[in-house]
Amino acid sequence: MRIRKYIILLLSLPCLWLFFTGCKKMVEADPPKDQLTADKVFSDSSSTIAALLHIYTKFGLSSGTIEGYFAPYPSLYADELRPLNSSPDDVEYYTNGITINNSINAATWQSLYAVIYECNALINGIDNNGVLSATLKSQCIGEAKFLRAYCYFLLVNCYGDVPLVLSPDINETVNVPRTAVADVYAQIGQDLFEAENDLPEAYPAGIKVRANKWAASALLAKVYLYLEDWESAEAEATKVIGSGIYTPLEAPSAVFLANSKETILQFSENYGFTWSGNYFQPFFGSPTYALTTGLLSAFEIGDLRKQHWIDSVDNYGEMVYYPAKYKNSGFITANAGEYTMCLRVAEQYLVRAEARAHQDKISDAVSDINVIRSRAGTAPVADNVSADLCLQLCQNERRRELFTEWGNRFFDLKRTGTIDQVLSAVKPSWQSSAALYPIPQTEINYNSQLTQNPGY
Amino acid sequence: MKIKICIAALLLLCLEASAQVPPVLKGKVINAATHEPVADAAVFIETTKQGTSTDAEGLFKLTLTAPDTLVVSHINFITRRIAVYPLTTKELIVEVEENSRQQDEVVVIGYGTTTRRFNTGSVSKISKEIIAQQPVSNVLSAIQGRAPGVFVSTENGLPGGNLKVEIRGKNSLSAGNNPLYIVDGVPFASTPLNQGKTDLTYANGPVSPLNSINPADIESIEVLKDADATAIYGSRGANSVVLITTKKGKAGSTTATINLYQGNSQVAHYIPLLDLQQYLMLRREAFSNDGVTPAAWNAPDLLVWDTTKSTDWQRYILGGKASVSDVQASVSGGSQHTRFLISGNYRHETSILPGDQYYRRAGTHFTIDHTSENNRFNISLSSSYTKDKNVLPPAMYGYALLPPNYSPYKANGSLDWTYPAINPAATLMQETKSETETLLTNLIAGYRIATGLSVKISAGYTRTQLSQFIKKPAQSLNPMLGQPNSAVFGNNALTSYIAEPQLNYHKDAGKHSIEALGGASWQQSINNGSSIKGIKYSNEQLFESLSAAGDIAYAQNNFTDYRYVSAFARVNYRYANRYVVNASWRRDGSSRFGPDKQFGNFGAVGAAWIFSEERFFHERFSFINYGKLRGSFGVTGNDQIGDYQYLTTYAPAAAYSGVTTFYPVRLANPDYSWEKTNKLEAALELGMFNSRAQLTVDYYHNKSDNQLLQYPLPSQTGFTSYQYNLPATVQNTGWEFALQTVNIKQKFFKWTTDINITIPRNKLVAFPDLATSSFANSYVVGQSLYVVKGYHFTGVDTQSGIPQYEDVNKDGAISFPDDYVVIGNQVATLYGGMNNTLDYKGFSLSLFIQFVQQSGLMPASLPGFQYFVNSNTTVLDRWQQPGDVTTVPKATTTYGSDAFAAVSQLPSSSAVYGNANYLRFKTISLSYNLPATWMQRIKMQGCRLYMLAQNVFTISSSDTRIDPEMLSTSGNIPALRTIAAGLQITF
Repeated sequence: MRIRKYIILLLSLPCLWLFFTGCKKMVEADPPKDQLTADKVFSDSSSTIAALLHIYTKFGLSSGTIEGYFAPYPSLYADELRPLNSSPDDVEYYTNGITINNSINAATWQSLYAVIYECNALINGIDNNGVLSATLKSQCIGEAKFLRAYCYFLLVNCYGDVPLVLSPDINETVNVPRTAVADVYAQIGQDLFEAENDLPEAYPAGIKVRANKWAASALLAKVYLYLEDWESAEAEATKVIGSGIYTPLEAPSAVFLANSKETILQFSENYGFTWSGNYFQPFFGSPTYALTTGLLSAFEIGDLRKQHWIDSVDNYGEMVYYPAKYKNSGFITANAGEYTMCLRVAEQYLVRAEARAHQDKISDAVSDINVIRSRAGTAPVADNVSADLCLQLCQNERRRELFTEWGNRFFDLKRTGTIDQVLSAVKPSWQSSAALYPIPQTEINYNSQLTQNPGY
Repeated sequence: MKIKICIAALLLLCLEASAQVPPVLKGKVINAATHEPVADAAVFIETTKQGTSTDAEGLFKLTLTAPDTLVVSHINFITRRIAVYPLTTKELIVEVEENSRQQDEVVVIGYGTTTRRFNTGSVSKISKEIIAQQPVSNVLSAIQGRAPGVFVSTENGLPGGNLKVEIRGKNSLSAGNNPLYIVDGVPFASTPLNQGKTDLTYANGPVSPLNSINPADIESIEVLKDADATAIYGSRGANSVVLITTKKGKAGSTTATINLYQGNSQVAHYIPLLDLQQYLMLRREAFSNDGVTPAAWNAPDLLVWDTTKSTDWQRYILGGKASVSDVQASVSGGSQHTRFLISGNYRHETSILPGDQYYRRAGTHFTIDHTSENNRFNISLSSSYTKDKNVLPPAMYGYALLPPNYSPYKANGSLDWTYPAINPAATLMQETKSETETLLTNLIAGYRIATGLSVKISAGYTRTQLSQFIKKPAQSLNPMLGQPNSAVFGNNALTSYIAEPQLNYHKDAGKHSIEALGGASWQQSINNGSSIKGIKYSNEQLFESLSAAGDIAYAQNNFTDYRYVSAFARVNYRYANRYVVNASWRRDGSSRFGPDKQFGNFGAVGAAWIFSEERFFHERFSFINYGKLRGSFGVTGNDQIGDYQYLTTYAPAAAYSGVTTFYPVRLANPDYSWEKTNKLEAALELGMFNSRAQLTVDYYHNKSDNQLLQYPLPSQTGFTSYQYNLPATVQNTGWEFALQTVNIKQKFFKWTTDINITIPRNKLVAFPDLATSSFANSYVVGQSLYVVKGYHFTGVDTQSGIPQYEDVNKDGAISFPDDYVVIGNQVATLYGGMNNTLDYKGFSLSLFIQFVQQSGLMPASLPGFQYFVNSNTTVLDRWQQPGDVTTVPKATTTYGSDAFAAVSQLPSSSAVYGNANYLRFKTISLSYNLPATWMQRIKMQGCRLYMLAQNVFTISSSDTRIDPEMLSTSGNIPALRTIAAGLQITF
């Protein structure tokens, strides 16, 4: 009897002991089956590519919508669009009075930094991994750097100085203050050089929805143009045009179709329609935004772009015009598929024309402009123009060609120094300080290192 | 006063020659006061431990071979010991004195039991009798108002709907505030399995898993509140612990019981809404005030719809009558060593909504327990299985407020989608089926190693599976939105295991008594789910076949693994039955925290002084027969957050160019850890006039810090928040009173009253950098967590009829958030219940009143404002002409008109904040036990006829809410009035 007692005691004690010592192991839960830990993602080529491709989805309508922040808002802010059935947030853009708590502005900032995080996490994850092939590594890092550069390009042009964040580690990112525009551009340049160097000329699977070498060159050309390095801008644009992949120019009606010849880079759409296609078109008979009369009157008679890229509708007795570069929407998907255009070769002609005009290569500049004009069905301009007039022709052509695409008009007005003159003529409430958007107040709240732009 | 023990005459007679072998001792146990038989009393021979329990007639039979002592015990009576001799042939009558001294009642606590007398913690008990009086499907409805400190509110009155339970207030800013539910020692997950899944909560919201516990299977519910009672549950005790103990078999002759009731449910209160003429008048007035001529697009109710036909939408949607049927059957019995209980139940409810919806539940419950001959080894197994099915349309409440002349059909009979773009007739074509299967099993085995020392292992397995099917036929969808028909298939299951070895030690030495407990716990919960949405069905007959879907919109699954491991100990020391000290400790590890942060230590110390046992007290205050002071302090924790927040992971997302992509799910934080609640409590318990009046007064003071929340981040980090411990402090204090009195106690008549009152206070004590955090508009330091902010409404301008608000920042405009001020706290400031029970012979009448003093938001009075919403009649008091003094603004409906902007701010102003007190006749139960003599003739043990009424009527300070229990302005299906009649037969 007594012996049994001790046996039981002796048996129960190790059980208890096991509980106390084995605790640590016992609370280690199995990883989730519907998710992969980061180290596993970057130890396999297909999951690394899956993580890379997700970054692209953030720009189009499929799972993000950065285009949704850049198609209408800079256009409302400049002189391209006016609001019809709009929220107070939209009206703040139109009147150049964005308040510090504007939700669109907060979302713009947030979605760009979310992409930057994914790029940083990808670059960091691949760098720390020895399993992937060198080719795959340099390709993925190149694409991530291209995308990161594009986000910073959009950020500096909207906000001026912005925090330059190059790591996914919260301890290194949470307190970063605003970095001077020049330093951000230096990083953009460095990323694009590396991308141009590392990326192949061919598109993966032959579809132009991932950045190749020419996409990096095209964005670099645009960056040089903004930095007023005319020679380099011309050189980069020439590389793209000279590749021969994108020329001759397509008819206006085919430009925005999926994988069109014009495309240098598009964001793939799962349902064949884009943000612009879905939201610029009238909903229940009435569009949300209308094109301004200023933009409409900028088109010459017979311009095929006005015919193909602009549509109109009777809105409670008033004929209104809206952007119709994209035809498909959630309701209309019968047409050929459309992807969100990021970079296209027509813009490269205009970059090169402007860069050449600044270098007094007037006839070369005019011939580039005439490439665009001839596709638009408008008469060529003569090459006996002054440099100033040639630059004006460039801007006029840009306005007609690139309206409601990625904030081009707003950025062009700023970099050419004409914004005060142009916008104060059409918007009585315009102030010079409005050239920069306000830093969203929540960002300043959560990072006390950030400062607000003047005028807000 | 000394406890008066009446020693009844004891008939011990006599020896008569008998041929009965073995000799049988027959007897009857009766109530000494009323001479009524006492059923379910345990009767056993002290030496042999052989025993039985009495039947409904109080009768028992035992084999007796040698002279011995007979022990008769019952929870409600004082234990009797009687010398007995074999060969007694005459029936032995044992009179037992009723033990109204509630302080000696057994209470279940964490990992054990104690008595009220020696308990150092705060425990409220709800008995099976109280549950049986209420014809409800969810046991949480039955505890509403019954226990101090426990606040239950209905979120959705439809069968299967969720209930919110908050015990002693809200401790956590953003982690869960659910109490820990333990069923027979096994934790039961109370979080709805479909929570947070948009498509799956579409119809009935989250489905409460507690609905799978059959209320009739419950023996008692104990709510553990203070540190002393909850610290043994360590990290999960912060929000209190609800112990549910199921019924067990009783020794004695085999007994079968059938209990059935049938009844009807309906909405008890309708909001007074405008009739057609009033509605049209206000709409026309709004247009005329705005100086706008109504047009078809902004006034279809005036120009398009028939202005002569009227529908009472409230009664059309909510006015149905639902039926309730409930059957319970059980068989129990066994010997002193082996007992069993087998029961089955079936419940069927229909819904008040138009259409054929129903809720069905069937289940079984089974327990067996066995003790070895030498009483050293015992083993028990209990298991219950429940399956329910709930068929409902999507949320319909909103349609109850449609304008009276709205019609879902056009003149040609087709569905009208023009104004508004929703349609009740179409919505009713959509349907959700939810089926829940729940299996609960628990095995306990124990062995007494030596006197006072025993080991025990408890092991449990729980599985809850929720399968849902939601169909949306093409006809039910607005064709202008171009949505395809769809069917969603959801499947979520939670499987949990638990094993808890324990070692118990008990020793009495003179005036010293010590009890010690040591144990460990290992738990694992796996949540596995999937949902698939099929769209573009060409044939809607085949909705339930995924292969008939033209396309799969999404197919996704989820998996989480939660592990939990603990060691715990408790030591209880008692001296001279007067002084008690109780200390408990628990070390918990949870997989919800990152490596190195998983473990936390929790513990509490409680003490009690039973001062009524002191001689000096006795002599001076003899009317107080029981008095105890107790107090406790300690720390408990909370880990009710999502799993894996410390892990950087990627999950599949939408495809890019045909390739599935992976996105980073979160910004991981490996450093967060337990949220902690420090609890302090002091209480006084008194029993007066021989325990005819019993009073318990509790004061608690709890502080929760290290708050687990999604901490906002600058988005330059890539995310807008991450899991974090914020050093914010939330304080919950309160007074709880419970008074039980036996007002009249005569031979045939007894009247008892139970009252409980809680006065809670909740306060946000500290919140670092609140003003710049994302919580700036949600919380205010110094106010409760239920704070409501809005514009300060200063009245309606008597000249213009435009509502006026305080311009806090003096910028000349009223705008969010700068002009927001605290307008109140949407929370109960006093609540409780009062139950009166009257017993006369076989009749028993019980009346329970629940009351709540609270304030909150109510629907705004917006005269003529919208064409798709009817208003309550308060809008008739609107401003009409200069000089009118009223709080209701003038009618307006047009954007841009002088009053429009100010009127549209009314719902977010103090104008909609007010008193929401109510007093509800919650339960009325009348039952009649047929006399025993009748029953004997038909060889039955008992027969009870009863009527039950739930939510009978409510007196409320405002009738513009459908149910004052629901403080949100939007409203939902309220808790229904149910009236049922039933019959219980025992063989």
